[in-house]
Amino acid sequence: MRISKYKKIFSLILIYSFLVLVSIVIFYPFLWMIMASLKQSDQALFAKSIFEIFKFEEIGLRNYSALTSLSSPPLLIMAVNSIVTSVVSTLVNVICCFFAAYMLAKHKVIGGKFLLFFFVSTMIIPQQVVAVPLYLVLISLGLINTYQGIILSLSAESLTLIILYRFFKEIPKEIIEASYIDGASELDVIFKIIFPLAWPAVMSAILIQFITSWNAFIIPLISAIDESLYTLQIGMSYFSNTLFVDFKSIMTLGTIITIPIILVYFITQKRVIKGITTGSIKE
Amino acid sequence: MLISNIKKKDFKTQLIYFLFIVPALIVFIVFRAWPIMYSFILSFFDVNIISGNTFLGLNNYISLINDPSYIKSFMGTIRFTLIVLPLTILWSLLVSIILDYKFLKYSNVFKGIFFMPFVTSWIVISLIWKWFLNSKFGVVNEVLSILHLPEQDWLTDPDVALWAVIGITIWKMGGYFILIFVANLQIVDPCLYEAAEVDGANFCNKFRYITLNALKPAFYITLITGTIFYFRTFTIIFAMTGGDPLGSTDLIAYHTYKLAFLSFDFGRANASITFMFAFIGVVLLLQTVFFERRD
Repeated sequence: MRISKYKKIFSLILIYSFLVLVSIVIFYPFLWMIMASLKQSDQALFAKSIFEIFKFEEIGLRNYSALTSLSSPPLLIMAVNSIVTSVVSTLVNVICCFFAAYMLAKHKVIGGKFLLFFFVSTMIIPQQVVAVPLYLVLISLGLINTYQGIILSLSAESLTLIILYRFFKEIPKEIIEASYIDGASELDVIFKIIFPLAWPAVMSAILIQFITSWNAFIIPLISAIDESLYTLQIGMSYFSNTLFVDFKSIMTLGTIITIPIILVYFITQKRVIKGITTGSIKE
Repeated sequence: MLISNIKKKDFKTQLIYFLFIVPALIVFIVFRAWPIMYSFILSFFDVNIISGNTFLGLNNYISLINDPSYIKSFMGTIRFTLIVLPLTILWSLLVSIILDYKFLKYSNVFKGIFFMPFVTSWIVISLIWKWFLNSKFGVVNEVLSILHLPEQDWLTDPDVALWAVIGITIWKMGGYFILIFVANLQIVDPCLYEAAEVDGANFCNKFRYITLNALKPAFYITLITGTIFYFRTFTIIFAMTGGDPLGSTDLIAYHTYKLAFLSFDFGRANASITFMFAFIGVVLLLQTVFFERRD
């Protein structure tokens, strides 16, 4: 008994040190980026010690104010573009997928199996693969270099539809049948019964789609031609290719991009993880 | 229920159902399905946005197959996927089994941290690591020298650049794979292990006959999504290596992007997309058939 207790403590120590070590490797680049964005001189970036960056010397917000004064492309416009494209594309995606998933999961739609297969199979056409022809399609539709083009291209992600479909499948039929018998219309059922029930799954879908849209790179890259349509991601890539922006500023922009999404993620961690896993496991 | 009487509930009900599906259908057709079909059509043309298209037959495909840099890029992507996918799966299997250890507390905290790179954008991660991999003052070489390991010219040596991309990819995507495995491990029936212990099974036997078997859904889903994730690798190449040094990291999604937007050869770029799409489709089909046959 005693031996197995020591064995347990020993293995726990081993496991914790392994997990902490991995956590440091995962966390270090993020901390480094934040510290680099706060440094006033380049010295710490070129330091020969990996801990140099964490010294609280020469710390301040000058990089942030310098970034806001850049005129081409302006930070504020890029931030607004990022927020608008990701919020609106999330709304479009989740609203469309909500109705489609509900109909396919709870009603006998003719060709429903085929439609579901179609939606799921678009997963094998990721943004990076579809980018080149999407560019040509956007040109022919006159949507190139417009908000609508970026937003709609970002909205065609079917993971949300799968998450919602899986959830609707688990809602008992009887609830819907009972409300039909009480004389409820289709819209009544959707908004008064299904929507409140499905709220947790809808929330997961919203979060996952928001993260995807916020982090999208290739679609804004091909469809935003004017600087006035650049998102923060494109701005970061643009800065990294110009000589007049120093590396601290690039890391400052990186921090601005990353902090909101990490905060959203940590606050809603359970929902995000639930969404990601119900979208895949539990066949 | 009422819905099941399709004959009575007739055309009108179906029309209402369909109206609810149409918005999603339009978005997915116009912005995913149609571009892929359009790309297939355009792959037979010399595409010129200004002066119009000329029919070329199979010439785009033939010239791609005869282009050594294209074949190198395609094979390089397959090689990259064949290396990075098993490594990510092994790594996340190891971590998830550790996270599943029954006496472990705070496993949610660790899961939260491990998943963080997955929700961060590729462009940010690529640029941080580009700095870290700098051979003179990068953190990676710093750590290697502390450990008395040989330092590398990560981004300029053709033999190691792809390994740098592989390492960062595992660093970023590992969290997703770990989540899938952990979720799968949590639904394994503990009775199975107890029964095996009664029968005198050791850790290896339990792992081999119970855990690996029960993890089949997780293996399936990580193989499928991993194939899609890795075959499309783009942003890290775009932002970190630019396909260099000597084309050693010139993966197919980036190569195709260059064909279209640097050489303005949209015909060949579209032929390349047909190859990519067909390849992903065939691989996913084979994986599905393999898993279904073993059930």
